[in-house]
Amino acid sequence: MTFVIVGASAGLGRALAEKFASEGHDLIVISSELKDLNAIKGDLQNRFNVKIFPIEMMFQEHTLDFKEFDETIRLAGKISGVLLPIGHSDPTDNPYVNESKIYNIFNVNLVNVCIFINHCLEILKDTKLTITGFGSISAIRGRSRNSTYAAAKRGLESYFESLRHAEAESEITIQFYLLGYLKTNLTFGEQTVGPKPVEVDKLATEVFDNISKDFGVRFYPRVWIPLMMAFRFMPWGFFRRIKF
Amino acid sequence: MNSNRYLKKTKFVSFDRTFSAFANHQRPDRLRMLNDRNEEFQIPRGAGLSYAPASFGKDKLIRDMCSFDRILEFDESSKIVVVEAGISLKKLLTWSFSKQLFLSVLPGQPEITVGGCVAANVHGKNPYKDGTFMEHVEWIELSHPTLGTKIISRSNEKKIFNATCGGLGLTGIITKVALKLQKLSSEIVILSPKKTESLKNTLEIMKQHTSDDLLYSWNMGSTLFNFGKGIVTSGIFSDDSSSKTPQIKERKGMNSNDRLLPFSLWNTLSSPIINSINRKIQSGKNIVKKDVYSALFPYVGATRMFYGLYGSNGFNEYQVLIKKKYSVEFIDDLTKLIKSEKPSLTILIMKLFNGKQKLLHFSDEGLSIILNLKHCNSTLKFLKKLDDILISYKALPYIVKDSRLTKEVVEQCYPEYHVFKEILNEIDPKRIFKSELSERLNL
Repeated sequence: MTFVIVGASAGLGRALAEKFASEGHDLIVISSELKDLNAIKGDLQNRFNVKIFPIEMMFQEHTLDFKEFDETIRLAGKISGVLLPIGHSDPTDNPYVNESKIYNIFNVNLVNVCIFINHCLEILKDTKLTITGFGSISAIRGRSRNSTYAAAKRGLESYFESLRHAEAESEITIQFYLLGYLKTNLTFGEQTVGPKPVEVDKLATEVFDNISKDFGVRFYPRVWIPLMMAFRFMPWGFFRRIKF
Repeated sequence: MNSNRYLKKTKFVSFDRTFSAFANHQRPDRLRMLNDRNEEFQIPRGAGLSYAPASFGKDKLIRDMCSFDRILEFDESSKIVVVEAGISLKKLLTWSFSKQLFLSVLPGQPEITVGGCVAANVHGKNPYKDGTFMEHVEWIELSHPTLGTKIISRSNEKKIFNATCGGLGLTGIITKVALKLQKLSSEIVILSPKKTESLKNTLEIMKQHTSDDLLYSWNMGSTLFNFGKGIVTSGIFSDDSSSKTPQIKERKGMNSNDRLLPFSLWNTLSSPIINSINRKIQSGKNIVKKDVYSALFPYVGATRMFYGLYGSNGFNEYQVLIKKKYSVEFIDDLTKLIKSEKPSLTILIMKLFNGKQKLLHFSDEGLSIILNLKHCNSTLKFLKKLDDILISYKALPYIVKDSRLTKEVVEQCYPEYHVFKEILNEIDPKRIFKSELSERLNL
């Protein structure tokens, strides 16, 4: 079986690539960093004897070029899943951020993810498939930091809900993980609040173990559920005073 | 981009715990990040297991290479594997054992990275037979703001290649290393522990086993009783060639951030008692069959206990390489000094070397002695006196093991100290690669 992983060069994407390859699956790995993808290709092919197809795609740009992807899909064999652990945030992101940053953040986190999924649904018609998206707890309630990112991730969650509804009668499984802090470069050196960042390898194993399950939306780690509920329904009088 | 993104202020502690400093910690996870911030004073860092602060320095940019741990290429016919510098020996061996291959030069801890092995030009369990790490390196990809990214080897940029091997990370960032692996003839190593009565007796026994696959000794250091008595361990791969993949054992190694007691449990009384019991246990067995991983990393389970017992004040490790012709004379002088100063010496470890000395390479034909001591004022006084003896013999101190070594000692003991410095200045006149160690030694 072959899986497509978008955003595979580092962080959760790289951990997913390692987990799925270690279980014997071929992969199409996509990111804007071809050098890193080639290093991943060498490593996973050498260690797990699987086929890895690296593709460079620029999700921050206005249009996606699918030529190489379509050619690779033909070579790669049956596709069983598309995982999209892609994301981009900006430390200067707030409600007044400039236009180019807004486009960048929306393109990577929402617009091109939707376009990519639609393209996959079109070329992989009648295929039994799982599509896995990844949101963020930052989308639970908008605040002054990461505002564009949170808006894009909330939009993505809504898009996945719609997708699940639209594909309810088909053989396509739609999953969406709402992620707490992960131990990646995004949290390295950052002051995070709440539960400590978790290892991406653990999440990768959880995703692999549940790849065919139709659970809809899931928090990871689950310890965030009560915290997020409290945060979501916190009275405005308190919420406005919180600075993080 | 925010200039401090992906950075944190981290307190780094040397493995011997005698030095610590705050520095800007970066953990790049994409190759392009290695080209960011390349005007800053910086140093690459592997597992951070060098005894001396070679991979950090106050307020420097510390580039933690742990994300670059991939096996990139492998050629089965030549047995050459290309890896990223941040790969640990453990990860590399996990893969190579499945192909019945291994590296014969392996330092004490499996968590050490390949980049670290190159930068310290480490040695293994029988440096007389296997040489040092650089002898198994085919080429290196080095990234430097001035040089760019280039492949260096014995035939291409030989000068930079020689300066990078054992160059303490000061010639740039080692990004890839091509290593020549050896065929693993068996998953079993047959070890023969032999009781020795003195340091000189140890040397004599070791000389009879130079062609064995593993050869090292440990001797008692306390002058209270049994001083110099010890065990020589020699080992050979078993003839029984099976195709079973050797097991990698999960054992937690020592980390410089581990919490320890505020005092040392090693002292002049506990050390000879514990070591005498250990010697009795070990010498009771004529032949011991061990799996290859346990034989190549014999102390991996014990290091946590051994170094941990020194407590949070840490320890001093002193490794010297003395020319063959002076070995016996040096042992006499060392013994005399130990008996007069009575330092808090736990054990001595001996190995035989066979190689050519160049630049800052810890390599020559001779005898290496390691001294493990509790970190305290009397130890520092003792080591100062030992430095003088070292200089008189033109012996080599192992730079990455000693956090208190001075520029004066290194300058007098390493004939090509200034040649190495000149190469560094030639490569990078701004000298952006710096660590506490390089500053202390004025490199």
